[in-house]
Amino acid sequence: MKNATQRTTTAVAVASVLALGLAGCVGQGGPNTASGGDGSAQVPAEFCASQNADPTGVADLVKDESITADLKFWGWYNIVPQAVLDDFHEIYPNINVEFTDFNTSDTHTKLATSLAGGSGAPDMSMVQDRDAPRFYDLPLLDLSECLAPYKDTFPEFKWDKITTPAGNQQAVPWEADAGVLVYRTDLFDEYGIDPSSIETWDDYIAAGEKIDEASGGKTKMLMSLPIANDNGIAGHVMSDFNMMLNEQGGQYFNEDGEPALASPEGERALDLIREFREAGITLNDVASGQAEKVAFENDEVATILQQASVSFGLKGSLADMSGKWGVMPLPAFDEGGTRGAIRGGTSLAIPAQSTNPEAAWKFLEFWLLRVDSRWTNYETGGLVENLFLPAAEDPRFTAGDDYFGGQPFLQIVIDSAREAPQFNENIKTNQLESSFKQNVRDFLAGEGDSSSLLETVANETKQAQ
Amino acid sequence: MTTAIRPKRARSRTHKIGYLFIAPFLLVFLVFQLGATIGSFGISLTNWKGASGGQFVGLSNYAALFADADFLSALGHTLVVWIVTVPILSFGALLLAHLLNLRATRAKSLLRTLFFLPVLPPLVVVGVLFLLLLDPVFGLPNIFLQAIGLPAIDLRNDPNVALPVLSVVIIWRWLGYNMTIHLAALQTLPTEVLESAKVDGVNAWQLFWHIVVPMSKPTLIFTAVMSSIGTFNLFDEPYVLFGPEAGPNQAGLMLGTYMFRQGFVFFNLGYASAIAYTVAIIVLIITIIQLRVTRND
Repeated sequence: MKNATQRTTTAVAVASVLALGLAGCVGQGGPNTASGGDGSAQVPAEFCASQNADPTGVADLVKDESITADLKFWGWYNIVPQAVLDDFHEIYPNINVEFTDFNTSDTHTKLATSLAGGSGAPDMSMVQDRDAPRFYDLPLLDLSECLAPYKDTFPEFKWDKITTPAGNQQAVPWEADAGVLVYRTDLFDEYGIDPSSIETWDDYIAAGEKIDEASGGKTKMLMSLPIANDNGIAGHVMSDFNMMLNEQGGQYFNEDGEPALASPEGERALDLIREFREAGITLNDVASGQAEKVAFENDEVATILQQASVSFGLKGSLADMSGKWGVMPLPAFDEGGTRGAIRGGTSLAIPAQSTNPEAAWKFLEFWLLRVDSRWTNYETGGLVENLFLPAAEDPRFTAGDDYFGGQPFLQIVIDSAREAPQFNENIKTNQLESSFKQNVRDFLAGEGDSSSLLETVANETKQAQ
Repeated sequence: MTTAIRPKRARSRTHKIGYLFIAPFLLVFLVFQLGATIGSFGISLTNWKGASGGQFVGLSNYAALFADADFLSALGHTLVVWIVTVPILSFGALLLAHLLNLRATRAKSLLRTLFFLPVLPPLVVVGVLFLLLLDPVFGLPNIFLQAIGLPAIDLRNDPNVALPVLSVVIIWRWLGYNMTIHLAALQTLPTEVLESAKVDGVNAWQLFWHIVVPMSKPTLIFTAVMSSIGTFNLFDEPYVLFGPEAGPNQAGLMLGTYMFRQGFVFFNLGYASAIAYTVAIIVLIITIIQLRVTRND
């Protein structure tokens, strides 16, 4: 009996330790006190007077061998900054950059924990604009002074994204994904749709119904997906809603950070998404990236409502379809209404822990604030490289894109970005979208109405920790 | 007198040397595991979000958990998977081991190897493998299902298949592993008992149920407890299979993935620590119950 008890006690002790190993998972990397982290206001940068500061983005640069540094760079899409490294070394031969790839969420996690813990942060890191609020109280360098000469080189909304409530600029602007409508020129021709006739969402639905009928139900206007597919060609309902809300000037959150999506704009966007399904113009719930690719190849989908980065998805997965696609601005909600929208975007921060912040700034300046670098990026598979406005005027960027039948893809993208109304993000954006995604499926199936769904999402977001 | 003291000295020296040997592990364990675990409890009493400025909030994280629909659904899903998989992973594995242990069974080594193989690939590889298997376009099971007129298994859009698929993946992976543990134990059982039972005319089922099972109680408890802890710790498989969204309507949300989401997507580190501790306590209770139920009277 005693033995049995001893055995039980031992087993329970072992089990507790094993089970608590999981409790140990979470606490690691955090400080031992609740106050944690540095928490000081961001450290102002003091090395901005640069002989190579150049708001035109095209001036000749002066070679500078005086700075020697080994920089660490974290991000999830490092082929883009890596592509300019050789050109960078022409000017700054003694600054080396070592790139480490993490996925998006790991990058933010590691950056936040290393900033809060006071060690281990890199010299530069990508930060998604929607995650920027997480870093407001963490020690990143305030780059306001460095960026001052460049204030006219980005659309207004992008400055908003990188500016903290205290007015510090905590990152250098890189990209923002502007919404566009990509369509199959050959299918439009075949079924007699004139792309210039699609100015509003009503026109879009009418065209979709015409294609559906003329193709005997084979070709649908767009895919309707509650969850993103893994190759990221077609958009998903979450990003459709985000862009449609932004297009109307609607918001996830008001100025006080309270959920504000339960609004006439939110209802209109959501009702439109369901109307697509009810009108029978959608290919619904495609089950994988592979199935998605097959659907495109079989001419089952005529348009893609997506962010600008769709061009890389298309050129990568559907290279054979070059010349069959065209591009136009998003349709508007009302005749003559706004046709621009933004979803997402990324900027580059310099942690106060950086061993050589001046060298880090030199690299970011060279990479993000030079027209040539932006072009190198675009050719590498970068994102909306012409968000840097001097690049938007450059003939390479205004030229036609062969994949899109010679249409000026990047021109339409930058117009969308410039037209997009300002959009608030805050620390609860991820919670809001998580709640939306888990409630939207039943709504798409015809249950409930948009106003109660949006109320539910707003309440869940409010209550979320 | 002196002779009585000498062994004691020797023993204490041995003790010291023993500590020296375990020191490297012990130091790492104390700092990085036990220290972090205790620290995590402190964090669970705050609303710390990974930046500065967490405040002490007492037990309110724990109170919030039981009003949190997502936590309750993750708990429900985890319990379902636990109820489905643990009996198979302990009892089923024993039955399999017993069959492999029978004299009549041929090609034992080959079968043992085949059953054990699924443990070898990394968890993420296993998840991706099943994703490819269940692809609606080229996944073999789905091609077969559609050929006989059944709908394909659609992980991305059908909430009803999430937990069955996850359970199958877990059983596929761990059954052979637990079987190996049972087999090792069975091979140490006194063969006379089994032989004399056969002479007495016991049939195969009686032999298993009345002799093998009682004799294998310690390994049954061990595999049940370890599998239970494993289920409550599940992260890799559901994360790879269902992605960060946890599948349609979050049908694949497990305690492990929910804790990750709260901690590392929403950055609610205080709240995530509270989840971790709650899960640990649940596992502890389940373990105690398992030990009580199976205790020798």
